[in-house]
Amino acid sequence: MEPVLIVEDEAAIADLIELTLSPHGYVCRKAASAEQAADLLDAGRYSLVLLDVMLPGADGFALLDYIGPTGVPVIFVTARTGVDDRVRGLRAGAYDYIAKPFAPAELLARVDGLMRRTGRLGPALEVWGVQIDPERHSVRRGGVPVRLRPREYELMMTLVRNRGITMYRDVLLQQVWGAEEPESSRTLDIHISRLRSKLGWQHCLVSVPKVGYRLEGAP
Amino acid sequence: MKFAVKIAAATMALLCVTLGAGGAHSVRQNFAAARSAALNSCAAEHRNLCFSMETALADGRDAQSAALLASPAIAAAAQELTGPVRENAPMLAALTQEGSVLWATLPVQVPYAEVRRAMDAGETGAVYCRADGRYWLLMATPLQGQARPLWLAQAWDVSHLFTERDRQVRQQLLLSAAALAAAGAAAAAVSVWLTRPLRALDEAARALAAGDGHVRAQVASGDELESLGESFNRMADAIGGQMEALRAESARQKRFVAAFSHELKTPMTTLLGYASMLRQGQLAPQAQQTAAGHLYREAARLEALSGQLLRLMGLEAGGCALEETSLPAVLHAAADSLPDLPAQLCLACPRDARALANAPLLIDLVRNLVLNAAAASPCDGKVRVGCTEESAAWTLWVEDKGRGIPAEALAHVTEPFYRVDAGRARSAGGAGLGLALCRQIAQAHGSELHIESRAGCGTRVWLTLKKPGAGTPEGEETARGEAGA
Repeated sequence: MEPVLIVEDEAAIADLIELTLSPHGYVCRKAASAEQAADLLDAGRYSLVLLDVMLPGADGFALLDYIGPTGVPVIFVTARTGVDDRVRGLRAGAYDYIAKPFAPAELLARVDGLMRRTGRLGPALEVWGVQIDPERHSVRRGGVPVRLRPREYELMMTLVRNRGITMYRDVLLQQVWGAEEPESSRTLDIHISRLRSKLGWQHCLVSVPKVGYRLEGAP
Repeated sequence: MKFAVKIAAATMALLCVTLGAGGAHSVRQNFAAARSAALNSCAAEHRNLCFSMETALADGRDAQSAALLASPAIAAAAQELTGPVRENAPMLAALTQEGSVLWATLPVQVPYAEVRRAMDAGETGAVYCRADGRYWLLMATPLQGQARPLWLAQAWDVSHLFTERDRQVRQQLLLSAAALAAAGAAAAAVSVWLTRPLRALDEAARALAAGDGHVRAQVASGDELESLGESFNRMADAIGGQMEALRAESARQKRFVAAFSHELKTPMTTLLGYASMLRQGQLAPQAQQTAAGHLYREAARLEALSGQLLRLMGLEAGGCALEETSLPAVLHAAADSLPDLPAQLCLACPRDARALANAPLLIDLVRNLVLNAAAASPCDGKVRVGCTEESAAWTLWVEDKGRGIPAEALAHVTEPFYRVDAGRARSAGGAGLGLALCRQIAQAHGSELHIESRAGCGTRVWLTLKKPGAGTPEGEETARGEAGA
């Protein structure tokens, strides 16, 4: 897959976007100004541009005009959240508009969604021998459908979205069960062991004592 | 009720009463005079008739005893007096003391009771009565020298007196009505004309209440209303000025809040993003290091921003204490605090320059201005800072030959968070509070922060500082700092 171009003059935010996207297989390039971004766009091909509006020199809107003819999809990531700004950005051809401050999970979900819609990302994910189609909620293991309960599916997707990161038990409980958090945290362990046996993830879904669980990164 | 209508109505009411009273009095006088004349002539005629009757009856007294005085004799005497029947023959009646009618030519309409009333009124009295739509005057007199008491009553038709009175009343009413109508129209016109300034004032006040701050009352009546109009216009001027000031202040506040919340979004994005990442699980050590570094730097930036903001608010609220300060020392202290300045700093200040100042604040001001000047990428790579002596004050200036400030931005550069170029200043680490702080510091020293700039040519910023023991450096501008000192 072609890399994602992050145009953002704040290094901290550019790093945050990169750290959010890279564990999920996105390769990122960063540009701190519109001019630098234009140079990078001329030199290579990109699957997506994440664009800040307020940049030194030429602003994001000017760069959007430049990107337009190349057909690379653009998502605005900006603190300018007025309706006028959003409408202007969307009218100018941006696919989406993410307001700062944003949650990393939301950024990832929007990028994934755009990639799927534009056909740049296959509809199905392949993780440790398991094919997942998030659109249809279908899971197959070696071509054979696997039946997962709703909670098991949610837990699997949370682990898949955070591959390579050791997830805390309480965060997993909160994200999967939400307000209906089970009385006993043993529920989590039971769901994990079911996932391991149903998906054959005995080795890649590891327990980290006193912390939680981690689905290992790419095989 | 409208004021003009009230004036007209009051005038009409007054006129109505006057005309009514005057008319009634005049009719009454006329009527009284006519009645008195009629009464006099009737009384004279009656006296003559009585005398003639007495004479006629006295002639026949020998032949007839007084007791047997018969009606025919009276009738004959009366006939003689009245003469042949004719239109305006006297209408008479002869009555005994007890009231028995001996003979009469009184018209039948005259009631007997009224005749008795005339007898009761006596020789000098007269009685008016109304019967069958006509008015009658009745007089009765006892005849002298008769064997038995005999009364002669006479009646006159005086309807014409009353008809004339009624006509006069009608005429008076008609005249009054005509006069009232004319006077009413005139009063209405005059009162409308008189209250025209009030309507102008009313319209102006309504427009002002509806938010039109430019409306003024046009009143040229040359009286108290004109002076009221002038007062109103002065009030409208004052309100307009205050409204303008409030609008400007509200717009400034809105810009400040919008800019401030925007300013918070970048550090908030970083803090929330990395915090949520760290909270979810254990990151790879290198990623963890990056996240912690960014978290620390952004938190420090927020802390610096809040500190600067607090100083700004503090200066706005309270000012600062001023004392005699050496200006070259201030400039050198500012220069020393900027060892990594990308531009060359040229100082030009007399050694003995001393002014009333707050040294730490003034150092901060010079430092901020020098940083701005250096960030403007001067073409000669120099930033000039110096002091020039004026009559009673020192001018402290900072100059550069950098890119300058566009004219449209010049009025806003001292507003908090205002940036001529959003990205450039932010990437240079500024929070957008530097010039706002400088302006507050200048004001605390009793001066404005003057900024002269031409895009592409450079910028000169200066302020004036009082010499120790001197007066106000900028005329009417007073030092806010002194109040707080």
